[in-house]
Amino acid sequence: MSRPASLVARRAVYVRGAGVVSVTGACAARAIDFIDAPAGTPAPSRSGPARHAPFQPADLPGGVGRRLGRQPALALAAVLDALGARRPDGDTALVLSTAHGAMSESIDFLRGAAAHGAVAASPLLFSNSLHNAMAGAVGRTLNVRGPALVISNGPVSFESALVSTVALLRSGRARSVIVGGSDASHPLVERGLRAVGLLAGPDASADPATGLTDGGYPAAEGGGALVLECGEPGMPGVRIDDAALGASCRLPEGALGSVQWLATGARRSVERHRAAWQFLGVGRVDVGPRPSLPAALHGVFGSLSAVAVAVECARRLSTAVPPTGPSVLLQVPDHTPPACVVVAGHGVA
Amino acid sequence: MAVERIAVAGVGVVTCAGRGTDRTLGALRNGGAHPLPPVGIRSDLPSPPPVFEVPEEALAEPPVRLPGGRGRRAERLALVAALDCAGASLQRLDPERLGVIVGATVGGMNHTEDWVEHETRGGLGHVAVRPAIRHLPLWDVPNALASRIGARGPAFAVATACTSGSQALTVAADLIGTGVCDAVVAGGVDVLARLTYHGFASLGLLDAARCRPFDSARAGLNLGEGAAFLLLVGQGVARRAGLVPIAWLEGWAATADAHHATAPRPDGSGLASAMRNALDIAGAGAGSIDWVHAHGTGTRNNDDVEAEAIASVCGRGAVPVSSTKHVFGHTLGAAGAVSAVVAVLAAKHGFVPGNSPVSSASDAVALVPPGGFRRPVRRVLVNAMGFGGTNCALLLAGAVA
Repeated sequence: MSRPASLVARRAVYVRGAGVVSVTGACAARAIDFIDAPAGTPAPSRSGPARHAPFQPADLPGGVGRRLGRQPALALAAVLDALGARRPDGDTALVLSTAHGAMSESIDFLRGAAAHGAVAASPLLFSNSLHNAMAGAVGRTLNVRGPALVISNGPVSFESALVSTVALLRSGRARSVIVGGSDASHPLVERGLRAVGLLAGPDASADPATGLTDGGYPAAEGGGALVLECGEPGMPGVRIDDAALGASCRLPEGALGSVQWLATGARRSVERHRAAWQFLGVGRVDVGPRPSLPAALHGVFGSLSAVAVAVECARRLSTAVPPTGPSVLLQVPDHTPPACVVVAGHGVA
Repeated sequence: MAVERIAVAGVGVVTCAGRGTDRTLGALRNGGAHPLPPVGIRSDLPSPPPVFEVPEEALAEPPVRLPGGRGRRAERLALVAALDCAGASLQRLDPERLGVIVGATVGGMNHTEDWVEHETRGGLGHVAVRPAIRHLPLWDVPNALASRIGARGPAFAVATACTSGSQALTVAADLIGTGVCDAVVAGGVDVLARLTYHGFASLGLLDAARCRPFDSARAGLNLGEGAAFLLLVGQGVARRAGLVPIAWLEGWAATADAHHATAPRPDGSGLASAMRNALDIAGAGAGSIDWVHAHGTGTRNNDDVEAEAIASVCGRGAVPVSSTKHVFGHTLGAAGAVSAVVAVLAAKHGFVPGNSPVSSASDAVALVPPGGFRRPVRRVLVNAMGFGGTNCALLLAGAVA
């Protein structure tokens, strides 16, 4: 590695692949089909109080998921979907994100120690409880040995990972980055969230006219992933034109394609987004009240944006028809500053 | 295109040695205190291994009102160290271009542990659910810090196990180097938690006595807790803001082993690659390194692998090497940042801290004798390794380099 000459160059960041795991399974195309289905189409899977992905770690190819927790396995499933038949170079970097990490393993470890004593605590659960377990699992499966990061920032974890990824690419420390995010559910946390009014009950549904829920947000799990590379500006392809947190969130110049609010569906969340959107883009676009994705895809545990950005990229990769302009995905959470991602371009025919 | 140098414009640290650089340096010079049985966490282990805890008096003179409660201990430690590192400089920096990057492994886990225990067996009295949910995640700390210091740029947590504190600095350097931020308050924090204490115990990695990094008879690590932060600023911004660099972050690199969930790659090639990449980014040769501040946890796997990695990059026994884990314990997500602060102090004061005494050790590394020694320190290579096969190396240089 030489001192990166491109350290401050504004090189373009191109999307080479996009993958999704959600209630529609580990397949971006199926997620898009579900999103495009007529309003009111039921979610394909709903097993348990949260909308769980119809996916088990053991489903992963080659038996790699046997000793993985659910959350790292979800990330790996999204990454494999994004890669498709592509084999990553050995120096590919990983930048993964999660709001809560391997929550199940943390809780199960603590429960085991509480119930049976610390001497009976499980070493496997402990090592799998660390956030970095997901980077280790994905790295081992793909045999990639570049820089590997796990980033956590609540609902904007994936946007934070994208900010870091773009800097990693533009710094010259990586030529190719797999960026992904996932979060899984856990009954104890769902119970806690419901107790404090943050989570809708198992039978809650959104108002079909507005997409809003009053009793908290709907629970879901899932993840998304992108394969990104730097390139010269002006080349054809799908690009991440911006990823920003906090004060640096800016709308792109010119006409916009679509706008998406990564609101949870809870009324107060949508109202916050409306206010932020009007602050950023008042008069430029027609802003409706609905969250952008069906409620069934919403990731209460933090990776909604990983799903949403990957879906947007997959949609653009699959079409050679130029869209009208860049898409802006905006998220305004409770406890972190807002975040936005700008996706532009289209697939190559 | 010119590449902006990354200046270290301030450091802050709080560990078992207390708060501030003077206490840190004092502990390094006199070898520090022995670890003690844990006070801040409950354990039903028959013989709880000793730990290095932050004394309450270290937080007794807060710069601002600190959040109370054991559940927010991580936030308190981080706030103390971050304000010590950046407090005087904040007025000179654009808050919209000031970031906060925090490395951590467990964050505010303590409250969550109480809650899970309550749910499991009851009898612990009322445990508030909202704080347990709110403080469970790692990202609570960076956002609380950003709010308290008025930073409005990117703020998030880096969670790469025991390289978290180092990797937070690499992320910060990239954000500055690519023009996203003018300056970043970056470092790490971790507090003693039942999850990590009993987790490392379950793996058989805790020494029942004081740890002995690189000793051929070493028996494991001692957990510690603490926080350390560095104010990183682009050279141009530092000059315009009148901030005087106390050191430079010249090189930074990370790699993955892609080998095992907890064990490092036996040939040390992952760590060696990170060390070489950090040197390459700085345009520096291994011969310019005056001290390698080793990760040196005291576990069998870690120290053997690290010694071979250092030997492969620097030559066998060619560069003084020491770990300071016997002084501060293994502070997990804070460890890399604590090590970076110690490197800055070594360069500033011309003092190389000593390793713990060893009965015998591999000839791959030339260990610094206990008590350390005085010598001019231009460049320090700081290593970190962690579960999941993560490696990180930082190259720090004194202000005159």
